Amino acid sequence: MIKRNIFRRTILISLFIILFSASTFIGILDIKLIDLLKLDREAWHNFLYFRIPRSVSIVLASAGLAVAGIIMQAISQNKFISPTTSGTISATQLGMLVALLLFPMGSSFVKFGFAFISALIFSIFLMVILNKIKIKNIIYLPLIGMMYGSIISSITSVLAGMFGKLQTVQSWNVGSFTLLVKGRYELLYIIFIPVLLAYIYATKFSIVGMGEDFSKNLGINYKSVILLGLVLVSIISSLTYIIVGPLPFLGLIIPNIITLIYGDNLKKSMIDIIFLSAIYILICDILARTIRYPYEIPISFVAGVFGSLIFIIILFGRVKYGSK
Amino acid sequence: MAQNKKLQTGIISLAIIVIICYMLIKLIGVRSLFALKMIVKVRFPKLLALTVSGVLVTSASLVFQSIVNNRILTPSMLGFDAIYIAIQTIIIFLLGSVNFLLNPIYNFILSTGLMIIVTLIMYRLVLQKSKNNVVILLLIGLILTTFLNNMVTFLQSIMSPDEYLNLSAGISISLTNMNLDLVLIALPIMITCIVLFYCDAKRLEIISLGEDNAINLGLSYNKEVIKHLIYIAISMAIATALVGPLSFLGLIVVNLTREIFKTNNYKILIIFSGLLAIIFLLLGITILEIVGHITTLPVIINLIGGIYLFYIVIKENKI
Amino acid sequence: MIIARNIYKSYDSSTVLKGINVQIQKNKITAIIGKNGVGKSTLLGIMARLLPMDDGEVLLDGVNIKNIKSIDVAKRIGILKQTNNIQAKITVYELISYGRYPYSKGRLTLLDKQKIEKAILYLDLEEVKDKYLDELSGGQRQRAYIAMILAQDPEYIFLDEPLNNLDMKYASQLMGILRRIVNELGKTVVIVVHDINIASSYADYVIAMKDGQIYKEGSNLEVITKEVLDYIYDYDFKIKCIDGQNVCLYYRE
Repeated sequence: MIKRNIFRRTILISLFIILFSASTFIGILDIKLIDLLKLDREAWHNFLYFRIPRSVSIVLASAGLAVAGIIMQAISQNKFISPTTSGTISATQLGMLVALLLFPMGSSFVKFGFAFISALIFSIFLMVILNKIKIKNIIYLPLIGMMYGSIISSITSVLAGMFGKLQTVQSWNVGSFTLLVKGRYELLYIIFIPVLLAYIYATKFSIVGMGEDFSKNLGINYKSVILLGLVLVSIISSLTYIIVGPLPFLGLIIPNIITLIYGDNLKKSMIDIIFLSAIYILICDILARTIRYPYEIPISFVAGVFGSLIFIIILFGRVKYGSK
Repeated sequence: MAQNKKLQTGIISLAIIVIICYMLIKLIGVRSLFALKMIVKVRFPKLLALTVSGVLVTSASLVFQSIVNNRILTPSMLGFDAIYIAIQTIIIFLLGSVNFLLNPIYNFILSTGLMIIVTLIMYRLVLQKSKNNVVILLLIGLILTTFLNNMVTFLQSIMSPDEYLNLSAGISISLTNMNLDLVLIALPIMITCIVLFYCDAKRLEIISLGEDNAINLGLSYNKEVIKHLIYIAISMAIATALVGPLSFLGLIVVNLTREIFKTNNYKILIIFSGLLAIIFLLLGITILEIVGHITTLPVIINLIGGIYLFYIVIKENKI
Repeated sequence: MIIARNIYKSYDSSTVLKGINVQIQKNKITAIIGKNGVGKSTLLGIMARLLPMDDGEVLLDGVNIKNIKSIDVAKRIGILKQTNNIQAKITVYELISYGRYPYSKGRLTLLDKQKIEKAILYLDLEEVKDKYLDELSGGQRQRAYIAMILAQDPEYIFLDEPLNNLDMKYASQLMGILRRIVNELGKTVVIVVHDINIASSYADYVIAMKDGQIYKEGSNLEVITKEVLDYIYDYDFKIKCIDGQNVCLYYRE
């Protein structure tokens, strides 16, 4: 069993290294390894200024979203919940709009602050409502979540319409890595913190997912752990949305695939989640950049297409075997 | 019962008042007879269009709710709105704004046809499988919606601002150029649908009792469901193509009617939720005209519908 | 007369019913007993044409049930399943009147109304007949559902675990009503039950299932014996005969 896991993990890591290198070297500005070894200044400039930031951002954003997804699934005991299917992304967008309207010249940090608070408040609200009601069929949950998201989007729409910012808001919805150059992506490094915290608190998240009474019995402060989980998720979602844009369904499909293979033990599978999500997004990224070479298709589109398809497959798989 | 009669008359009167207001509101401050004639000539098709769409969406929602046995789900979740917006976006994108509304009738037929085809494909694919049938259908509809919205966002972001404005205008229910011919095609279809619905009312009630009970009472459940799903596809497609995305309208009016009349009599439900739908749409349009089009009607319906939905969920404490 | 011949039914890869042959005894209360998952509900559903079978046939008065129009079957067999979560806001009276659908398709005649009233009386629902379903207690709601089946006036009444979630008082009340329905109205009742003592106290005829087949059928005194029960439930029962009835004691190690 352990041998199998080590084997799998080695494959994941190797795939990751290969894809990471591939992604870093592909592109309009050709960078060849030879040039780097020859210490060619231009090659190194491109490498450090464009490529490395881009590839690193991809890994950070995807890892973050996947971890956010698995946190949400753990604390709500529902396999179909994720930032995409719970309105978190829509809430982030609303927060950004408010930031834009109140502080038009605001820095990324200001945007992040508003986005984060908005995501947190709306997530808490949803969680409170879901706790109060009895849901007969767990499949209803992502439905409710997505409806919730579309309501929030309507608010954003009305607000944007009133101030003529509709197309601006639309442009945020296009996820793209092209703008990720040195100097603009560093904020993403903050993601290390919530990911690390998620790892530390993994067991607590799993326990809390089993209910308030269950947690109390084991001496865990239910409310604060849930709050912590939502805070981490909000940080990750807002950060990735602001800097990269939406990566639909990533937080849904990667955790589902991982739990199908490794089970629900968060601590054990955290590393695999990070690598698998990076691999997935790197593949999407390479496709996005090569399909219509030299033009780049937005990554959110590619991820959206694959994400939807994989989600459907997972859906049929899970429903057929009656698992939660 | 007497209370019901009062409510019924109340709603009918309200509907008549709203219709009159809608027709006449532009007349305030108008002096010439010619202008009067023009205004009525322009408003009337819009009125018809809204009526037809409102009624079709309502009937589709009622049918849908009895099949899924759930009050908070609407057929628009199957993706009609997203498909419609996607079609319009692709048309503008590929053909440019000039050709966009070149022939509204072709546009209408194309949109309707595509929506029905996509829905039927979805039915075919999903309904073979598991017991959770219709709910999965909905989830797929929502995924389809996300997927199409993604694509639409992408296309919209690379459009020119002019094209974008034309698109927004075309999609919303501002109805600035409602074609009377279109409405005249849709009107008899609506009347047929309503008549069919009325005849089927009792069967729908039995279906709302659940699959086992329906079979027990002698209905061919599977056949009925397929028949009704096709009905839903056709009505929703026509309604959306005529007037634009209508999202939660069905949800609002059907639930409201149920709350007001507290009955399961589908004949009453369809008449009065239809009337409520007309009232809502006309009020909405009129308010937007007064306030100055800060947003579009679908967005407002979405907002109100969503909030109402959460209210129902919290009140009933279950889904 | 309902005859089931050679019924086979599989779900996914497992075969649940393996060649069932049974004849439903008229004018009796028949109880079907057996372990969880042995196929009791499946058999009941198949006989009432609620579920399709993989092989075999069900004959209703000599005619294959597949060849009879569903709405005609509805006038002769009424079935109530376990889970009933009707969302619609309907009153007790409205629910019961749906039972007349196979006859009048919604337009209630004088006869329909009489049948409805009779059902209300039988199930003691006079006081709550105008209340909404969601305003009733579990016991009242179950009686309302059964009243609907009664208004349907079928010859055969199939009930799948009708006593689940009912307190002892309401459970025996319901069984008493079923007894009256059989004795006074000449109907035939088939129920799937979990509680063997209910079968023992109220059923005339018992069908014991094991491994997808009928192990033994007969009068309740013949079937509710240690030999049969030990085998079909894989357990060590203690049976005592009290007041002419076999009572099962199953909690003493």
